[in-house]
Amino acid sequence: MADSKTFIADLAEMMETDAKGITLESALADLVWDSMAVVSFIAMADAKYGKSVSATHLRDAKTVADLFVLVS
Amino acid sequence: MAVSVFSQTKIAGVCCALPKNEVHTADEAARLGIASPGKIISMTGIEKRRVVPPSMCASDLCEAAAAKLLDSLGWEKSTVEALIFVSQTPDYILPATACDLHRRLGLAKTAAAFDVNLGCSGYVYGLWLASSLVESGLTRVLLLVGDTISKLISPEDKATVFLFGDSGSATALERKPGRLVFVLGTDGSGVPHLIVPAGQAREPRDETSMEVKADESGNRRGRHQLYMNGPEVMSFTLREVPPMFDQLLQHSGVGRDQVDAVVMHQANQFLLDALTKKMGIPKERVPSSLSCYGNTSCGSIPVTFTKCLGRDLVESTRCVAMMGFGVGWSWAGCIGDFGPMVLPNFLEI
Repeated sequence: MADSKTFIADLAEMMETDAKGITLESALADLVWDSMAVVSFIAMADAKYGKSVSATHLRDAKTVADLFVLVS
Repeated sequence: MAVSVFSQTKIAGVCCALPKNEVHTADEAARLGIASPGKIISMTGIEKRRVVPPSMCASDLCEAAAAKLLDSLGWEKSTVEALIFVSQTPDYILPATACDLHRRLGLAKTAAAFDVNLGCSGYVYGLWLASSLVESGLTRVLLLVGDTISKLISPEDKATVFLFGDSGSATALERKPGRLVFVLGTDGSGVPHLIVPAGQAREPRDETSMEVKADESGNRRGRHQLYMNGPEVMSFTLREVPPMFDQLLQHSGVGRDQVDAVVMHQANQFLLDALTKKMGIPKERVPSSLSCYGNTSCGSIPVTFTKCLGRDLVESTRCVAMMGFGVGWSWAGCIGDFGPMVLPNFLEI
């Protein structure tokens, strides 16, 4: 089971932003969640969490918590 | 997965041809109002690409490469027994462009000629088909592989406009002792994710299909132009390519450390790096030609192979794996000892 703090740190590093202020409740629309971030997330989920994330499921994600579920 | 093991096929030579015209990523980004293209260039790995003028086709590039290769090999045209043309951008809906290339190259009437419609996996598929023909009894086969995907791109679609370059190639195969192992697979559920929907029988091109509309990401294109779902491409690739590499090693008996180079379809640098890491291959063994030529669809493997390994293969032998993957979803890999072979310099036309 992935740890949410580590996950948020990984997500922030991936998006080249500060983890402070990011919580599981953060809306992706308020972050730098663009097409490059989506592709980067799929690669990160595979490399760091061993999870094959479906692009279709990812499209439905609205919050950081939704992303966390995909790698848990 | 489909597996073939061949023992009587040797690649005698490879030649590539590129259009002279260069398009720089920074210039394209500026045209689209993107002030700092650094992230685009670092993720794609593409600084510039070669793009054909409107009058030039993939077959023109392949024809030039084939003429140069036949001349360099000293092969009489009458000795070529089959010509395969792999492309998604043929000259006509019909006839097969291979027939026209047969005429333009002056091959003998005794030669077979046919087209194959495949993209990113197309070069390795073509090698597999050509090798199959050689193993079935033919002596010399010419494989021509090239695409001009630039003709299918909307200039207002940021998902594709920075990626695709044009190229053509010719590969000569002959009946001589040489072991090649192939692994191939298909997952047709990928069809909607990388597609030009309109322009053929399913959806003929008309005013409606050519109407340019914005998608949910704000990218604008018509249905006669290429649509690419980047996240789906990434998911598919990470799912299917590493197992293909494992299968190649298993069926060839080659150890992971014994592979001198893994030439992959040049999708983009971010994807190549992710695959390289997942497959546990040292980065220096995974050549990239993206910075100068971009993603040239089915032409990207021969371009990278000749550009990055050419010097090593003119006089010596290297264990090389090649892996193509993409549109379809379709994937194909091969592994074997390549070289010595004839590798003329790139042609620019």
